[in-house]
Amino acid sequence: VYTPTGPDGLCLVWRDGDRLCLDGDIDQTNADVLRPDLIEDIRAGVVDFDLTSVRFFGAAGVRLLLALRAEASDRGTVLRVACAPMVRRVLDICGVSDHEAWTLMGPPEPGRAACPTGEN
Amino acid sequence: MRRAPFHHSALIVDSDETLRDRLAPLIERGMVAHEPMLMVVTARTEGIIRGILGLTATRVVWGDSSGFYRSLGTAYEMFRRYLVRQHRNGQRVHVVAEPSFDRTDLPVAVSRVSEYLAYEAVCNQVYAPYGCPVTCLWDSRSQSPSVIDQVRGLHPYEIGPYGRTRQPRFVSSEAYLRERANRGLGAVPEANDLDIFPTEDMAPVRAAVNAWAFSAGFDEAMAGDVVVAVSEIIANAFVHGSAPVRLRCWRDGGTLVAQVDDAGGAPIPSEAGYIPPDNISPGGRGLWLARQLADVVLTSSQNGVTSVRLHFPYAVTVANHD
Repeated sequence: VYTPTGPDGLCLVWRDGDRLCLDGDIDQTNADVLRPDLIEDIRAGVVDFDLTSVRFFGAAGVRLLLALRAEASDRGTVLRVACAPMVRRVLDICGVSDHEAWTLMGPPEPGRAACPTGEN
Repeated sequence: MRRAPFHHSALIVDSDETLRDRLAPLIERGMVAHEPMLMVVTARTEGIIRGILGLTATRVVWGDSSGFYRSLGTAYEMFRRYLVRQHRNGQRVHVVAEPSFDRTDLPVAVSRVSEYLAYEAVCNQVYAPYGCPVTCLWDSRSQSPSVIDQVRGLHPYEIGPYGRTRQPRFVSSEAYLRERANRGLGAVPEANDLDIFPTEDMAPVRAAVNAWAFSAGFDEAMAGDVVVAVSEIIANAFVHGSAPVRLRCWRDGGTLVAQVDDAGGAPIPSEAGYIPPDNISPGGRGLWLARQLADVVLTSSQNGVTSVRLHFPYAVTVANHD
């Protein structure tokens, strides 16, 4: 099921089995629009997120994923997030990659050894 | 419990004898005290120190100074992450760093050294929790007297002929950053590659910036850095400033330059983008991302216009992906 969200369908969201796939751009115009539905999906048991087709990802995307991670953390579950290179790069630069409530898949940034939780 | 002071010291090098008389004894004292040391210095300095110390030099860890050819924000953050790891492991490592700034293709009018001094200022606060002394070598033979003067003011300690002494002319990082926040950016060239008034729907702007970076020979990942940094600054202009927002992009030699102006004229907080974001809070990451991805980032708010200018030297943007 395709769910276009935001202006001109900036980001498409659909279910592929147990996985939730996001495709397109995540920015400040649609991150808050996407959040409630994605949190509902986590409450319904989704733990696998496929962000390998995300083209644009910045601070608003980080904010969105941190909200999802907080939800998972509250529920005691661990998200698995498959990252496009840009997504992984931005998460690593922001120092949020290491956390017990998610596992990021996709190669980490060279030379940017992750920061341990709570110390930065 | 009161935290031990952060020993951030300047060692001003005016001759090779200074290395012999000040740096070599500093290392020897550290070795006697069983204090681990990481040296991230130029090949020339390493050669001189190895010649003086002989076998003692093998007890020091010699780091790779190529990090200084990544973006300045990245170089500074890589050091911080090293300090975080030492702290987590209960290690106290004395870091000796000699920043090197040649070998980039920035326009001559843009000073990497000047921008790096902002990081020297802010690390007094940002590196302090990790309990590791940091000593910075600055060579007065290759830097102007004004830069050396500022370096002294930004380090609470100096390594002199008799070891470490407190710096009486120390300036707080807040005061330093506030003073430098309004230096002005210099003129924008009359002919630009891009001159756009973005709306909040930024997909077309991102496509244009991406194509522009490609046309200058940036590969997909490097162009992505430019797109993210520029988008974050435009998003900030809409959130914290006011329309109209204007984006101009041009080339200066091997450097891509992008400037975002908004009509709000609000000053950008002088520490914005210099303090690492935490692992939890929702906001405050836009300018951090821009300062990590671009090399020199200049800001100003004058005459009712707030401006941010991002520089992406080709070589630095390549090195940022090594």
